[in-house]
Amino acid sequence: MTPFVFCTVQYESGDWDSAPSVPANIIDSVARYTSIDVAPTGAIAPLASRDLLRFPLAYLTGHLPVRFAAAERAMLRTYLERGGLLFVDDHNHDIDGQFHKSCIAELAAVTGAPLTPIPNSDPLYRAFFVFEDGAPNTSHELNGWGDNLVHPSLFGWRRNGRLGVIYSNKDYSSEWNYHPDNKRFLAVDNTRFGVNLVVYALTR
Amino acid sequence: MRSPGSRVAVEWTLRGIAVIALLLAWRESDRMADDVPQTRRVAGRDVRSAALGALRDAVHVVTDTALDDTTRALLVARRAAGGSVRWSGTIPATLATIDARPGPARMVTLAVAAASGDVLTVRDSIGRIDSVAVASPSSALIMSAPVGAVSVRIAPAPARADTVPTSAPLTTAARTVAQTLRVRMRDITPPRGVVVLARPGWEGKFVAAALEEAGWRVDVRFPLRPDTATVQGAPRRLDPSRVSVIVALDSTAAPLIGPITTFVRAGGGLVLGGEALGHPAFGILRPGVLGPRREPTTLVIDSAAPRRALPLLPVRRLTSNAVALERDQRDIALSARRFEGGRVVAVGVHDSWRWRMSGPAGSVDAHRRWWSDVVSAAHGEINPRGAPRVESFDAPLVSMIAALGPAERGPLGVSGDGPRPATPWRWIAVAITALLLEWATRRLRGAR
Repeated sequence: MTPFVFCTVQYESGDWDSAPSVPANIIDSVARYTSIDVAPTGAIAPLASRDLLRFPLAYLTGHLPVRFAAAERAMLRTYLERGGLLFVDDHNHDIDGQFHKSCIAELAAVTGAPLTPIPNSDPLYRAFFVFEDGAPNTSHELNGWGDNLVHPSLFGWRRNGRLGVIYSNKDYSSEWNYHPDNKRFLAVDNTRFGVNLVVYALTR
Repeated sequence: MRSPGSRVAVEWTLRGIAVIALLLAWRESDRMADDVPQTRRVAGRDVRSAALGALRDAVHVVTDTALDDTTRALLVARRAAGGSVRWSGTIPATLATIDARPGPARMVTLAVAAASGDVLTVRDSIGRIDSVAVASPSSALIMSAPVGAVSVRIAPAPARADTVPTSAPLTTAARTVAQTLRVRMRDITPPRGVVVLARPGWEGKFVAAALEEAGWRVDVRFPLRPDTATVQGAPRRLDPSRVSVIVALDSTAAPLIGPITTFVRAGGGLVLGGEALGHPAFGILRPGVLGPRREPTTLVIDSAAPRRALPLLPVRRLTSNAVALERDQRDIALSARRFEGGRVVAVGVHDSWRWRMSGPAGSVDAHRRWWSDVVSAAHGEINPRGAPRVESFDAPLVSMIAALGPAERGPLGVSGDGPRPATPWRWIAVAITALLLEWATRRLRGAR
């Protein structure tokens, strides 16, 4: 059986590699809490490349404005049509920021529909750990950084009833961007929602 | 100069010749009337009356559409009774077949071979389902579950004022006759649910997704760690009354071998794929002996043989009650067997999710159909027992050739009666000539 490989999306505009420790941290959590066969290192797939189709879960983040090339847009459309799940996180946690505005527009151009809030009752929040109040808040939201908002929900786009895009303003990219060994200093592991993301992608 | 006596003898001879010639002419005309048939070229409504006409007449039917069942039967009976029946004309090879699609939605596919623009009207026992124009010479119409008898009517496209026909119709009646296919659908037992047992992974996820997209109700169980699993539905209730097929994709199904075997014995279906196919626990259920795992010979998933780029665990020697459903070169990629009351399907193809994600355009649909067909094969109630039974079949060209043989070539056209039979004019001419000679010789010798 093919092990799960965590994939980060590389796109031409912006800074796609702004959170380099997130993959290792999520891989560590998946291996720590589940018996899922997970590859020890992540992969990087260019958005315009067919290599992306080898990874049905992909993670995209950044601070800077996003403008997809035509080939990137076409490949992302193919990826989503075939059942891929793209997790996008705004590294600025700022709904007035350039990444948010430009990325939302690009995603709408690809999917043909705006993103809609994911309700707290969605299976995403019960895929492994239970988050009764929906997506967990990050320390960056609670400290008032960025847009000084606690974002009530994630946003998504569905195809055939399944989430194809999950979009976050919560800045999990900052929250999870640390070496996995440092989890021992946390009372509650803040990457648990990352496990839910992976389990949801592998089972729904 | 002959003597008057000899001239009288000549005159008597000529009279005799005239009488004999008249007798021969009368006899020949009588024989012609009795023995030589006339050929009647008929079309349209005249065909049936010609079929019922005197047997001695040959009937040549000129038509560009199939005759109705009764007329065709009359012509066949006429030929069987010794009558001559031929036909000519250009009949389009219109054809319609109907077939149940495997899967839970009870869809049927109506395949039509007809001229572009022909109007297709489909009805079932409840009423008219749809009426569409045929887009291309070979078209398919997919319908949701029809009820009872399905009637398909193929009518020629209505003539447009701005079009010039390439060939003149033979008769108005012939061009307006539509073809009809009637099929009685068997009551199909709606399939129950499918249970997918697999580890969390892309294969289990996309197999479950494909089956759900195809309309199956899918229960899944993905164990996430020894005491936790992602569950959808009630995958542990392996009861044939609520579950049609179990799809086991890896060793996580092995602990359930007891209930699974009971389920199959009771009439359930089992699909063994991935690691489950090679797991020792399922040895008693496998359709044959496994060969060594074969790695793909190519990494490119193309549309011609998309599964060739995937790893394969082939079945080499089938058990006596197993059949190969799909081969890849010399290896059996898909096989099935009956196990007491149920069926087991072995899927040798591994990592089929790569086909869906990385294959050519249309791979999502192809992957979905393929997995739905696999589950249908294990379900065993739709195909082939659920296939609709053709009640009457009226493919025009085929039915005409089957009944009357191939059409004759040659110019078409309706000429009423055929060529005139030979008449005894030559004997009449001989008689007239003889009488003229007799009259001349009698006058030349002065007699009246």
